[in-house]
Amino acid sequence: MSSKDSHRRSQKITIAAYSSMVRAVGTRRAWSRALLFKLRSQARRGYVVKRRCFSVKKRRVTKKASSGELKQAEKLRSLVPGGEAMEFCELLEETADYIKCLATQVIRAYGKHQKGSR
Amino acid sequence: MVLALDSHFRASEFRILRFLGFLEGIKAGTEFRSVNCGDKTQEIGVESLQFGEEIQRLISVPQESGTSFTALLELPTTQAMKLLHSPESHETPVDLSGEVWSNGRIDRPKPYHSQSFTCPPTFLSNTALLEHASRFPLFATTENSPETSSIPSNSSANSHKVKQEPVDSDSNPDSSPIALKGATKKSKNVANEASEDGEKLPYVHVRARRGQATDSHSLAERARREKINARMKLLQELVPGCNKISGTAMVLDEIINHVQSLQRQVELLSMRLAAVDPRIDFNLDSLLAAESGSLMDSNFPGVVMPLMWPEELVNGSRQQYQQQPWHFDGLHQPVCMREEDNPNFITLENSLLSYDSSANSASLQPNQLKMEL
Repeated sequence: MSSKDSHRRSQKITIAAYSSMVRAVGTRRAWSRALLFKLRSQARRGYVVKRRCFSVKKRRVTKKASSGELKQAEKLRSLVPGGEAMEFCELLEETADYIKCLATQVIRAYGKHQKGSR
Repeated sequence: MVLALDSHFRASEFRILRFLGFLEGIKAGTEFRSVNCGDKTQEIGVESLQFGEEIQRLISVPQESGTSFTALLELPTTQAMKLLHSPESHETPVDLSGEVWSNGRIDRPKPYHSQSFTCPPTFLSNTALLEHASRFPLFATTENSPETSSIPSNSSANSHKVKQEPVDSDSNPDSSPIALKGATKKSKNVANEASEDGEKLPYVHVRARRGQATDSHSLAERARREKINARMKLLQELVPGCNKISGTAMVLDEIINHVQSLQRQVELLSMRLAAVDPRIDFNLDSLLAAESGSLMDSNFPGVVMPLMWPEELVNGSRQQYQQQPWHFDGLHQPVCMREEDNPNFITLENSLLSYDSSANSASLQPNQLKMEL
């Protein structure tokens, strides 16, 4: 398998993993809604959108960054889907739920892996 | 330390008993006593379902009472009721006695008495109250999601460095006006939180705490800071090993690392599953498009997730449009299956919360998997 094919395959796998997680959560959470939107638009377009128009959101982010936790907040926003448009308070809440969901998925995937390998 | 805490709370409970007895008479007192001294855990399980309705009702009560003071008193008392039970139950607090409390409150809207002034500060000086008050919006907004409610409320009372006037004895006239100031400030906080939930409280008069500004901006700022602190505490509980770290910067670093590692683990495990279990490609477009209709009511059956997990492995090209029968079965699952998602979340979250104990073993094995690659 060529590297490009393997890259595409891995990309599809991660997309599938995240979409299954998002479907389990539904639209209850802001991060899942944002992730769902991103996945859907990605599927529609057929490619991943590279971040270009960042200036508008960044203006808002830097305004709120006066809370003191600048770099970490930015990093967190990049990690949690949909985090750019959130305030710091909401960001923390969404992060908590995101961590929980990720950990749940890891545990289940791991259990399934163990079960399958036997 | 547990014994000391327990005795402390028992003492405050007896004080409230006295207060109740003064207000309502013997009947309410005995009810409260019987509830308190008995076995709480079973009642808690039963009453926790009614808790949500209780909150709504108790919030709406201040609208009926005309005075601002009773508006102040309404919420703190219910909060105090919650708090009295929460350290002992470690679960969603029970408001059984709060119901008794509120019923009496409606009958007698003005319990003004010199003694009554000292009693509220006594139990309002509970540090856990403020912590819970700040957590109240968190609880109210996420009432529908059981996973947040099942997070055990960390009953460590030292999270909020609030200046506490030590009002351990009722008969302390010097500290009572100060305590009253503190009490009114805290109750204003509670009122603030409740008003954030959309209820319109009557205009509350507040007296500032010692050395603090009454500026509305600073008040809002303080409320916001408390919210942020509450959420940081929540995150600290979720991320293993964060309890020892002090300072928000390091904690945030830890959280970021944790999120990154979790994401990497998810990708890794899904790759492994894909390698082990090759399946025919399924159409992602139809999946994502079909779920737009069902997700509108956010009732998507969580049982699809275990079904989808083996199917998530994408192999080959996307040209095959296969209308998998399992896919539509997942969509048209009876709605009762949706509940499986929530208990699944809770049970898995319990296993997650025991992450600390099995953290080492759990984290080692994925690393071993990586080594195998």
